Amino acid sequence: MKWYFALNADSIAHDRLYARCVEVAVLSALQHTDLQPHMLFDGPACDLTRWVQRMGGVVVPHRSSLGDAIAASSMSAGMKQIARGAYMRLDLPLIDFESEYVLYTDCDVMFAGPLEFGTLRPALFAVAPEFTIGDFSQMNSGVMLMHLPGLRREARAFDEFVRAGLDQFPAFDQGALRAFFAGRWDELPERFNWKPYWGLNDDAAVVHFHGPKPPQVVQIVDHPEQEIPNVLRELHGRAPTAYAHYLGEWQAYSARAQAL
Amino acid sequence: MAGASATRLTRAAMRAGLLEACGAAWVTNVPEFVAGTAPALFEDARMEWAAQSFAGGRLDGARVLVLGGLEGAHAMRAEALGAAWIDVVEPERMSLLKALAVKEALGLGCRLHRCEAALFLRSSQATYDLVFSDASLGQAADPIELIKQICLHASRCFVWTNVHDPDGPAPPRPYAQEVEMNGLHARTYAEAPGGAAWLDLDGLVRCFAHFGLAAHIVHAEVRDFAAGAHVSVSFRRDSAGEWSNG
Repeated sequence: MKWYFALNADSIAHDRLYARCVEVAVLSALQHTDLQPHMLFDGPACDLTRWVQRMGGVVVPHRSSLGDAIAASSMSAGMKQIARGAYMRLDLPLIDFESEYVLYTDCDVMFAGPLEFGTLRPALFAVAPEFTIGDFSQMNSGVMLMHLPGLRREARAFDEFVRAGLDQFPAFDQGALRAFFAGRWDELPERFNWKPYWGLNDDAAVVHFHGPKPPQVVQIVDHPEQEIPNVLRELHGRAPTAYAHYLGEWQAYSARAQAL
Repeated sequence: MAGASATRLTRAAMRAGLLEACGAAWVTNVPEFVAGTAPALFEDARMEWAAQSFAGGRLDGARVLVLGGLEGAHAMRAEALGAAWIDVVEPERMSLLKALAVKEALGLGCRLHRCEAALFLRSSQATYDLVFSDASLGQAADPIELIKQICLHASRCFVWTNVHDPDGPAPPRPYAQEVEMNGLHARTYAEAPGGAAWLDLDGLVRCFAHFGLAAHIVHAEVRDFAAGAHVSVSFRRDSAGEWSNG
């Protein structure tokens, strides 16, 4: 199965956080799964695109089809930069005409075990809860099992819907998906989008650093005097042991990536 | 009354005792211990071939993973060439015990692991400067998974392995299987379903290249061999430097 993730070159222009996230995601995916990495990349070829290709991944140059609408929106410059990356996933039905099902994840994931979706065959897409286990109504679009033909049939109407409300959706694509497809998505078991603040889970197949990113976890633990949003401290405080474990794994992958 | 010298074991006798504890069926000729019937593997050139992908043709300071313990011979050769850290992975019980005996008898510093090669790598976050694989690929039911795992842990790999050659004298391998893994498409050949699956040389090279070890040198290629064609090939990542005395 193809696995897609998306990145805007602006996200890696000033620090290597998201480049390291990509390296960890790709290395852990290859280590544990048969997925073929595909990176939607908005920007020129760079060290990261070459690294992904060297690891057997595919780099798909792409700019969000909503780029003009994002540019014309009332978002701040920083939010526009994030939006250009976040909204790229919505273009997948119009990028990949070969695949029936693909996996999409955010860049800040780490694969921890083989992916076996069993009989799960969503008509549109399957997603896991965001903050609360069992609450699939408040889903998280950071990991999606996508049925591309199903989504393609709704692509035009969805595009019009997103353009009309671009400034209002909370959490970018996630807000748009929740609003347009309300009640129509399938449930993806939590272990495919496991958040460290839910605690340790030996069955987790995909660990998603939703909330504090690994360097922020280091900051929270080692430099508590430094300024960091309270919500991130609160999430870390729910399961510090799990954060320590998953951070260690993440750092080990990141170190390996430097050697490859 | 016996003198003290008569009750003291010589160092050679201590070594011999360790090696004899593993029984008589040694494959190799262990130094200072008359044993095996097969080639003098403690003197074979393959570790030197592997070291050709390093500056000066030596392994000084290198981290080396040996897949296939071969009674400790490869660990000894790697250490002699200067390797600083050697892990040896051997799934077969008796081979592992022999390697352990050799390690103790010769005072080697390697670490031994009883494990199937791909499983060891899949469970590890270690990186190596060199993976030395002797026969492990040719014995694997899923050689592509093993190649992938090697490439995810190392910048260089030396492989001695059997390869499929339909025109060779070896027994036919009629069970061809199309394998897709992480976007790679390859074909393997087995004598029986679920048995050891071999790639042909082109497939071997393509698999390593797909997972990042794109440069290679074929050191030896033996086609006319009754037990199956075999090759000795070094692979490395493009960023892993130049060949030495290629």
